Amino acid sequence: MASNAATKRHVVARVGDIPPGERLITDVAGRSIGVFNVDGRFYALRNSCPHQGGPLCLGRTVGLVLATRPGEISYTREGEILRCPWHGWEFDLATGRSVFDPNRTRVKSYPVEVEELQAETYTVEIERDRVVVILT
Amino acid sequence: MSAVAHEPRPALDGESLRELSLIDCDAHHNWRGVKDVLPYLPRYWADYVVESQFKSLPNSPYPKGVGGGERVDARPGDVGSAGSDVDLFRRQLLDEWGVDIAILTGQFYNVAFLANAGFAAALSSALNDWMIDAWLSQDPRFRGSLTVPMQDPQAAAKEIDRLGSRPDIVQILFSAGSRMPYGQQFYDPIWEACERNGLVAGMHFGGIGIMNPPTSAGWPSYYLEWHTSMSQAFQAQVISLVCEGTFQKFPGLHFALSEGGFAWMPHVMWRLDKNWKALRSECPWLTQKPSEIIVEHFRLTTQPIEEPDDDKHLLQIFEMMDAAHTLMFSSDYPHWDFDSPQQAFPRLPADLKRRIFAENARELYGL
Repeated sequence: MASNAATKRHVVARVGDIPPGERLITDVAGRSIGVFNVDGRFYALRNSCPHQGGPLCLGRTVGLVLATRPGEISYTREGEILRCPWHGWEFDLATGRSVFDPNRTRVKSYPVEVEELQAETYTVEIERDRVVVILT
Repeated sequence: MSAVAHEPRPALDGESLRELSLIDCDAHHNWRGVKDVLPYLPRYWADYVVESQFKSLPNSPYPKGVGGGERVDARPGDVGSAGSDVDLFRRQLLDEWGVDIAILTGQFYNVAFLANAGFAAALSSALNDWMIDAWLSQDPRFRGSLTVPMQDPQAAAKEIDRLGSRPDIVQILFSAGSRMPYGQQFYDPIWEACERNGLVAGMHFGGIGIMNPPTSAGWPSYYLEWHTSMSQAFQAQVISLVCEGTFQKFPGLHFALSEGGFAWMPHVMWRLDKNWKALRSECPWLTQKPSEIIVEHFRLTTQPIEEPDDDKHLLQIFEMMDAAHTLMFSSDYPHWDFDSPQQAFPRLPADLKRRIFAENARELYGL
């Protein structure tokens, strides 16, 4: 990250505090954010569903359910989809995009590839064994 | 003629001049009785009709409170059923209103209410052959709807393949009431055959006999209730066909919904979209909003038109359901709840009127 982002860097945990499959919901600069460990990859999402403001990051993590044709269902990327605990809307942990309308319905997120991030996202880095959420 | 659709239009170019101006998507011809189709039945089934004294297809358990269900002035010489005389039909519907194309919808989807699927299949074929001889060949403005035995989808598909390529056959017709929701794969051979033959799947008011009641609350007591409740069956069928993925399997398939109302459509679209956002993983083949599938694959006919006290509310419904692309005029001649093309509608914008009165049907049926 650029050095001028330093003031936006927030250490939220030791890596070991969030084992694979677990999450930490924490307050970062007044915002509730969920930090997820999916097989060693960290993602951060704002803990507020764009639908009705439910505590999104309290939801179950599930797989991605798709179908090539009626009745032929695939279940992949287990643990990488977050379902809102209120109404079950599904969001991709890696991107914050909803499954049903990825282009228009999203939650603020941190993608792994920081360089590709645009404004209005959070970023996460592993720094000296600490998980750092970067507000962007 | 003085029909609404014949009001002057601005600047007709060559293409516009060729456009049809009034298409009636629900016009009920009728037989004079089962004797009309006896010559078209195989000998076994003809004898079955005679021996069993079969007189008519299963009829509604509801005495129809008005005119026996018919426009009283549409009965030929006070004898015989309304709609059973070609000349009167032609005069009273086509000529009087300037109907360019009438899609004949008969009374015959009731064959699907018979318990005996073999009899239903034989009657279907006989009715279709009789319709071609007695009606479709009598006036170039007629188009036909095939009767098919919904009890036996394989037999229905065979009948669709037998006649579906005829240019004067534009759809099959069956009732909104069913034994199970139409999206379930039991019915797939029928939809597949419709798609294969380029026929519209026409779903019409009705459903008695072996069919389920039109409401999940059961059979109501009165014709008034039955008539009003029928829209529930249509809603259930639309929801089923969308959610089961029928249009992923048969992307060229289109449904025309007749005589089931239409003001409920925005509600179904909104609610289905809303629930799909949360529940789509149950039906993950739905990769677009259900309302988009509905607008693409369903058309609705106007009669019996909704009549709110304030005309502008109807126009608002038209906007909500994208009537410019989904709604098609129908008269339901010669039934008691017939809609006049001149009087049934509030004042409509010219473009919308053209879409509803002709163009949506022309596009759907390839007329």
